[in-house]
Amino acid sequence: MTGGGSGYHGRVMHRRRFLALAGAAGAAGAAGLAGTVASRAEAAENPTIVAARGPGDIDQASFPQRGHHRVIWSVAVTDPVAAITFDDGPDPAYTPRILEALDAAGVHATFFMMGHCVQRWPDLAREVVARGHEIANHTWTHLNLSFESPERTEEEMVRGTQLIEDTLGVRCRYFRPPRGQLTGSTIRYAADLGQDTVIWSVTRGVHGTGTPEAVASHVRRFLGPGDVLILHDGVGRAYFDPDAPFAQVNRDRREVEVRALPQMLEEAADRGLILGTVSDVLAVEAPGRPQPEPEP
Amino acid sequence: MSAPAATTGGAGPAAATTQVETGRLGRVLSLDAARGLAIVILLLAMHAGPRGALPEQLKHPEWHGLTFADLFFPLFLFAVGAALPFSHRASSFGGVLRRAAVLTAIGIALVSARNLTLVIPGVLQHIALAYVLAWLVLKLPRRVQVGLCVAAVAGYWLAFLAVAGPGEDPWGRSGTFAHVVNTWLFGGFRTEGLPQTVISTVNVLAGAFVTQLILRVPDRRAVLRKVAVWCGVLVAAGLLMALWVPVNKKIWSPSYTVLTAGTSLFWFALAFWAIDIKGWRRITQPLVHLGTNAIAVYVLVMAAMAAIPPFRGPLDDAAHAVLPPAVVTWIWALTWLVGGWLLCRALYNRRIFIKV
Repeated sequence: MTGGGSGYHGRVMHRRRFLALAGAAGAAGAAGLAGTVASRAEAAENPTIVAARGPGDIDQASFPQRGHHRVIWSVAVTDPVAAITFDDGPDPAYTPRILEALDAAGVHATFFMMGHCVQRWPDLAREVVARGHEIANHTWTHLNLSFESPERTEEEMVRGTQLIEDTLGVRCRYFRPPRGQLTGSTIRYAADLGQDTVIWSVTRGVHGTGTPEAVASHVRRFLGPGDVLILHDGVGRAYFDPDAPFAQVNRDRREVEVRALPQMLEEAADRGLILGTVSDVLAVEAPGRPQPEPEP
Repeated sequence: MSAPAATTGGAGPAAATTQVETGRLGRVLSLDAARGLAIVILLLAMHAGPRGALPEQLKHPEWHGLTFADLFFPLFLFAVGAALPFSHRASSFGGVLRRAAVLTAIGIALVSARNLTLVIPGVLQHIALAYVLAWLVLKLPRRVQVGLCVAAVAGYWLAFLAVAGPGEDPWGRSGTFAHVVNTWLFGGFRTEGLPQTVISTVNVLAGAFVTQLILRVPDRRAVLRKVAVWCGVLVAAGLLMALWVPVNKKIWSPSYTVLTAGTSLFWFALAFWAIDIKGWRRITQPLVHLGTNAIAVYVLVMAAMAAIPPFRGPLDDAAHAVLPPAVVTWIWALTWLVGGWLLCRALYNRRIFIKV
């Protein structure tokens, strides 16, 4: 991006795209859009804007705004819709069963995929897309970015995005940092990539491995309209250290989540809670920023 | 509520209130002053200023803990209860329901206007429901009333323990009894949620019990002594409970309930001592002004706050260009407070008491 040469594979292509997006935002401003600065995500989807300006240098002086990109934990909504999301996949051990359960319930989800997994199981990743689910960026190798340099953070985020987008032909509109670890760099590069950062408001809830019933029970209790539920269809760093003790724990926990999924979906439907993608939830976002009453 | 008919000339028990200072307008001045004190702190705390430079004690803790600001919404509820035995309109359940319905409707309108969507829970709704519940409890025999308060606090405590799963914190930031009920009702946690409202009825009843004491005991100093004793007992009990239950306003924890019932007694006793024992009416007059139209000034300020955001940014920027942030914050907060007081004084001088 702006400075810091990390020199990873495919960086040139990314830089071109990035410069084009910046040019698009400049074009939007030059066109006098009455203060509604087009986000780079919008610009990327609008070749007319890109062509109008052409590539130019990226610096904060010429591109002072980054659109409306934001960090989302949950959303104030007008309809009973919650987001169901899966991290760390795709993985043949879990993703096919998750897809079956989602299909059976008629639910579309957002899959925060690891670039590494998409590269390893591209056909499975394409199958997720083919079934109508939303794809988002979960970095290249699931490093805990709290302990990584800005350059390494950038590489993880950009490389993950690029692999996913190039392999699957979709655009990643959302980013979730591994373990939900927000850093200044993750927020900054997500904005650069035109991705909203999506964390979560509800987890599986049960410590340790737990049981499918306990996980489903927790989700039933806490998942409500506007929530973002995090589940998993992969094992994160365990791909790189499969014999480590934590790897087996991860696999056991994922297995429980997969087994709990049909019950979760059924119970949500029974409660009238519509599960969908992150985009589905944002589509019913309540107008205006929530302004809770001042606490007396 | 804001303007209880705390007159000496009314029907029923009000006839006995001649023992306390009622002023030319026939209002119980110490009660108005206590309510006015609550409004002063509420207005300051609710307008923490553009840059939040007010002292930490005028802000609410993020979760557990107790600050000065935490003591005054319970005091307001206490004043609501203290006015109940005086109120003419509280003599019938229909009157109580009508009053609560109007207050609830205003509250829903206010908070919905802020959010541009229908929002059910809110501060006025909290006051209204606690008022109705307290009125119902006061219809029971006196021994049952006190017993119900104790049972409510104990039951509330047990409910939190029962809902928490193994290894989970019963008073944590998620998954508590208050979270579960509010999520079920409103789709998420609310600080003015139903469980908190129900348990805060105890604070309302504490006020009613003090008024009953005033009506029963003719000697002012004897009243003050009894109030002081109960204040000490409740504060000590609340602090003792805090060894096991964190003091937490957001979930209106049992220790917070008991402790603030005690501190409300303290503030009321202070007003009672100043006005009814020492006769300091002039110095307490501004509080009385605010206390007589407390709900009205709250509603007006909330409505203004809902309307002001589009203008606040430029005003804030202009002020910060010439003044330090802390000064701007104090000016902002005091403007609301002084504006509210001037309005209430004008209404008071014209003997206008806006009643819900």
